[in-house]
Parts: sequence; structure tokens; C-alpha cells
Amino acid sequence: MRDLMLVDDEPLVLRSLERSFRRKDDCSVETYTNPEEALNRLQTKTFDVIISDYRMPGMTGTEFLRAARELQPRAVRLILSGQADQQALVHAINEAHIFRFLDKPWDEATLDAALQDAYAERDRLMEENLLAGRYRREQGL
Amino acid sequence: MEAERLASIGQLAAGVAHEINNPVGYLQSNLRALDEYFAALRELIQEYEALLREHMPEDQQSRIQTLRKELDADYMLDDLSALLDESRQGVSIIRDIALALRDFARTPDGRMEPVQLDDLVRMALRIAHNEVKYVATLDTELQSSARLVCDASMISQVVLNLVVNASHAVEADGHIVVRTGSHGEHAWLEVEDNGCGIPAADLERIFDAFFTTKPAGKGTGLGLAMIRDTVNRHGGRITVDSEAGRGSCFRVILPLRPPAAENPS
Repeated sequence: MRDLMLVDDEPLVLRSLERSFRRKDDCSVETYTNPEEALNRLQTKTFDVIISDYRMPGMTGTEFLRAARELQPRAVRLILSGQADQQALVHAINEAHIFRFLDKPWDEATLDAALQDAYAERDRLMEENLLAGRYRREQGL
Repeated sequence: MEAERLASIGQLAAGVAHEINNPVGYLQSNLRALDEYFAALRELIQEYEALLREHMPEDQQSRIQTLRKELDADYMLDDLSALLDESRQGVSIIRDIALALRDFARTPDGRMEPVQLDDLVRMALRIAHNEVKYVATLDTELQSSARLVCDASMISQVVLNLVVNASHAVEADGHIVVRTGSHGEHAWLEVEDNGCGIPAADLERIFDAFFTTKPAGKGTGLGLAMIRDTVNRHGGRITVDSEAGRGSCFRVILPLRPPAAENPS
């Protein structure tokens, strides 16, 4: 069971994404139209993958994901946006360390493939963390 | 003035494209969900019907049959797939228009680089080949050895669009010729076809954004507007020589160094 967070200021986009994820994967989806509320939630619940819009009132997707990364560095971050100008991309990669930048309107197959890759990345990060912890204990650090 | 007008149209277009992408995204996705839901529900209905035929008394069965006729249910069940399919086609046309608008509005990223015009043309023709091969023969007379400073991806797009346009203009026995050459401080490029040509009355408007003579859904009316915009940005010009029934020849003339490349700001 995967925990997925979706953030987009357009509620109908969220409903649609939630629908298509629910049908395909064994996952629990939480949706937020307000990035501030999403950040609050990240303080109490762990998520495997976070998918955010780029252009939102109050906060860009990059600002949101940068803050999300501080709260949960091992939650894999994706941006889904209709606005893929170079500036936005550069910021998203350099500042929020995003895993994928996906185009709107999204293509179901591409989105699905990206999500599977994100789960794999999540597993890798968790395992790495586990091994690092074990190593530290063995070394008595 | 013209450049400013185009720039503001470009900004508007980019904004519109962005706004369209959201609803197109969920429409596409929802229609697919609807299709899946419907397939599942149809299976369920068929199962119910089989059960009813076996276990329901005759008089009640005929009541159901009457209702079924009144509602035209058979037709609806039949038509639903086509309905969804046609709706999806419509959405996909909207998506193409939004993407074309976004390309149209794309600000050049200023990456002006020297390229060999003939190499660039060959590359673009390789991409266009698939569109063209079934409708026309394509000949090239590439004779420009000039190195041209340009935004290579935008100029490739110009070549591609002109050739694809030509392929849309020709019918049986279509013939398209692409020529290049250089002259002094300029390089030129020609795309000639023996297609339907452009009526004199339309010639003035073919470069206007959203002007199209193609049937609804086949053309966005942005191709030539984008081409002219790109050529203008490179300090060049585009001319057309065409006659209805005889064919068209588009000619693009570009300075080897665009004005912006000489005065980097």
C-alpha cells in the first residue's frame, strides 16, 4: 500500500488524478488544493510520493516541494504542470530536487510509468537509509 | 509595431494554452475512466439480463421489454462507445491546438548558433519524410554552403512546417522540391509544390494567425503565422508565389547573421 499526496489548485484535476490512481494501484490518495495545508499534513503523516502542480496561488510547486523535502526528504517529488518553461524547470530541479517534471495535459501511460519509477526510487531511498543506519550502528557511530 | 503585436498575441496564446491544459488533462483522463466504468457496467447488465430471462415470469419480462423500447436502451448501449470515442477525438483536437499555441508562443531561448543550412534542412526532411512519402515525391537541390547563425530548432520547425503544408496541398502525383542557396550575406530556402495553390483572394491572409482553409480539426491556422514570426525574429523575410491549380512556392530569405546576434544585449 502506497501513500500518495496530490497538490493542485484545480479541484477537478485532483478528482481526475485520484480516480485514475485508485483504479490502477493499491494506493491511498490524499489531495490538497492548498499547498499550506499539504505542508501541515506532511508534519503528521508519511507519504511515499508527492505530485504537485507548478503554478498555484500563494506558492509555486517548487516552493512547496522544497519545503516538503525538508519535512520528508525521502518522499519522491514530481511536478505535473502545463507550464514547462525553462526557468521553472531549472528552479524545480535545482531547488526542490524533483524526480520528474510531467506535462499537462498528461498522458495516462506516461503518468503511470513515472509513478512506478517514483515507487522504485522511494524503495531505493528507504533501503539506502536502512543500510546507512545499520552501518552507523555497526561502526558504533 | 508588428513584432510587439505578435509578442502580446504570443503571451495571450501561452496563457490560453496553459488554462486549456488543465481541463483537457482531466477531460482526457475522465473519458478514459468513463469508458472503463461503462465496460464494467455493461458486463453487469448482461449478467442481470441472463438471470432475468431464466427466472422472471413472462408478464414482468414484457414490462421490462416495453420500458427498454421506450427508453431506446439498445440504441444507447450501442452508441455509448462511439459517443465516448468521438468525445475523445474532440478533446484530442483541443489538446493539439493548445500544444500548437504553446509552440507558437514559445519565446526563442536566445540560443543562436552557427549551423550549416543544408544539414539542418536534411535533418528536418528526415522527420517530414513520413508525412510526405504517401502523397508526393520529394526532391532536393541543396546548394547552400553558408553557415547561418540561427535558432536551429525554430528554423527546422519552419522547414518542417513548409514541407508538411506542401504535402497537404498536393493530391495524386504530388511533387515537392526543396532548394537552398546563398547569396552574399543571405541564405535562402525554397519549398515548391505542384498542389492546389492558393487563391489570390487568400494570399494576403495566409500568414494571419488562425487563418486556415483546412477542414475543422485538420489545421490550427498557426503554422504559417509561426513561420513568419520566426523568420521575422531572425531578421529575414518570407515570400510566396502561388496560383490556384498550379501550385505554390514559399521562399525564405535569412541574413547569415541575424541582427540580434550582432548586438548581444
